[in-house]
Amino acid sequence: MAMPFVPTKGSLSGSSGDLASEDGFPGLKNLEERLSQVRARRVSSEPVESSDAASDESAKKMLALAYRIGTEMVAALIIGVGGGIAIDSWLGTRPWGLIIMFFLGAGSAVSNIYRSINGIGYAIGYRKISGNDEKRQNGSEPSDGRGGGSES
Amino acid sequence: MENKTAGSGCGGWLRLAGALATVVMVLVVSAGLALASDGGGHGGGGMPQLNPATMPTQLFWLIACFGTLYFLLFATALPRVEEVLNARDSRISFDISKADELRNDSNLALAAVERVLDQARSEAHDVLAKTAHEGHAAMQARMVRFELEISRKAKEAEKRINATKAAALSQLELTATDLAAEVTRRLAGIELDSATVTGAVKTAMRERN
Amino acid sequence: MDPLHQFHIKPIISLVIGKYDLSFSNSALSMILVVTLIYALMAYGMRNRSMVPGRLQSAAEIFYEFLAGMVRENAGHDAKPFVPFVFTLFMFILFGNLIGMVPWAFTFTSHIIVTFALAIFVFLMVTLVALVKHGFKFFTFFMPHGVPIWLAPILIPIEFISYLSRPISLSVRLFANMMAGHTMLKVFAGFTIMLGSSLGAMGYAAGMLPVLINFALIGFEILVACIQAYVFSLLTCLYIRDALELH
Repeated sequence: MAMPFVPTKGSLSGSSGDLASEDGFPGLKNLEERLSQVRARRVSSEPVESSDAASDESAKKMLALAYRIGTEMVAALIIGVGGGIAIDSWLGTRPWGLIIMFFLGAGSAVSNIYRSINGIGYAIGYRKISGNDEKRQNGSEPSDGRGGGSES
Repeated sequence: MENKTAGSGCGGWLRLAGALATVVMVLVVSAGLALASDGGGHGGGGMPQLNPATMPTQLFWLIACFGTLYFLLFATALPRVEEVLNARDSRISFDISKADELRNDSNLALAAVERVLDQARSEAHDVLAKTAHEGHAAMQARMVRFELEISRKAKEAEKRINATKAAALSQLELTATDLAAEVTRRLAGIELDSATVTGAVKTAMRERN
Repeated sequence: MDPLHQFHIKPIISLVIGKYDLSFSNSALSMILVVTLIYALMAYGMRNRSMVPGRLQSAAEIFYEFLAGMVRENAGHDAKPFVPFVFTLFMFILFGNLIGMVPWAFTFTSHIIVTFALAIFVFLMVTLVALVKHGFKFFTFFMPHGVPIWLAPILIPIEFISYLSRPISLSVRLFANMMAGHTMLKVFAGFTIMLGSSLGAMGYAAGMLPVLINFALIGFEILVACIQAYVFSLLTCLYIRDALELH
């Protein structure tokens, strides 16, 4: 005679067996996912928020750059010409002060524009910019472009 | 010429204001009003920005306003913002670590529950198996006993039947002997001794059987 | 119909101290309005100091985080003490630009003297920081690195002019943008008035075109107002970084 009442292993793991199974606790798994997400976001939020915000930011910077370039030149010329006139009236060297200062101002205007476009920034002189400069705006151009080739 | 257009623009402004009232119109009208209210009062003459007479007041109020704003923000508003932001930041990291902790706790608890469940399940399995086994054995024992009893009872009954049968047969023999002696005496008139009759009956019965 | 009329400084309360006219003018009124608005946003907005911010508090926090991030990214971590200054500068210019978009309000940033004063303050502050931090080493940086010495008489003046042109470009950019925008709006608005008054009913119909142009221009001007405030404070951050690091 067979033993009809002897249970098989499976017959006991009824509803209570779901408790520990993987999909039994969606809340817990969910929590785990969200926790790792939040942690990743907090770590990465320091340098960049998201790609969307980053592209938005760079577009804004491009526009800001476009607005800068024009006045850079004008400002340098104003300083050059104004300084030339001032020197002339001070030293009585008319018109040589104005002429020389105009050319210096023009050179300065060119270098101003060159630097705004290449993102060397407004550093005095053309020294290489220290290591963490990648964060500086427009900091994407190659580093040798910053150092030497500035006598344009 | 400018004054003339501005003066007639005043009338134009009045008619316009009566007719249109949208926001855009308000903007345009404001420009018109500014133009019409005193048309070219300062008589033109270049940019107002280059009038040195207005510079001291602008500088004065700029310094006053900017300085005030700076110190107000520096002293009161910005520390408050920073405080709130820092508090929120630390709160969030606290919450995250707390959630982490709780998650670990619940994982541990879950593992414990699982272990207990496993144990309980195997125990229940054992118990069930044992119980089933015991029940089976008891049943078989009872069946053996039952069979023994039945066979004993059957044997008893057989014995009783045999005894009854033997008694009935011996009774029948006696009756048959008597009957045979009587029949012989009456029909043939021969008186037979009982031993002969008995022998004959017995023989006859044995033959019958 | 003078489109520059809107830039006239009109005294409201006359105030003369010594030989200087320090009258409370429409420009000063705008400035005070701007200060009040900014302080209201920052102080009233943060009054609850809630963990979960409301609308105003969110705005205040967004402004602060935006500028703190700008200073951190463009001026470096050492520049944290400058955050309140850059914040004040940005908010003052932004609100000053934007309040100019309100009818009748005066745009104080459309005056070169105001923008120049702000720029020269930034310039002087930055130069002072550089001098205090680096002393006379500061002056060696006018000579480009790794350049033949005979070029120095040319390059040093160029560098110097370049350096001096900072406040000019800073102030001219802001002033010119604000002035050009407002003049343009006024010119187009003037077209409408002119057409309406000289051509009658047909003029009103034709006058709708400048109105539409103005409508688009106003949107553009609001964008420009924000960008100019952004550029001004961004360049200030870059200058501060230069002063702190002196490459």
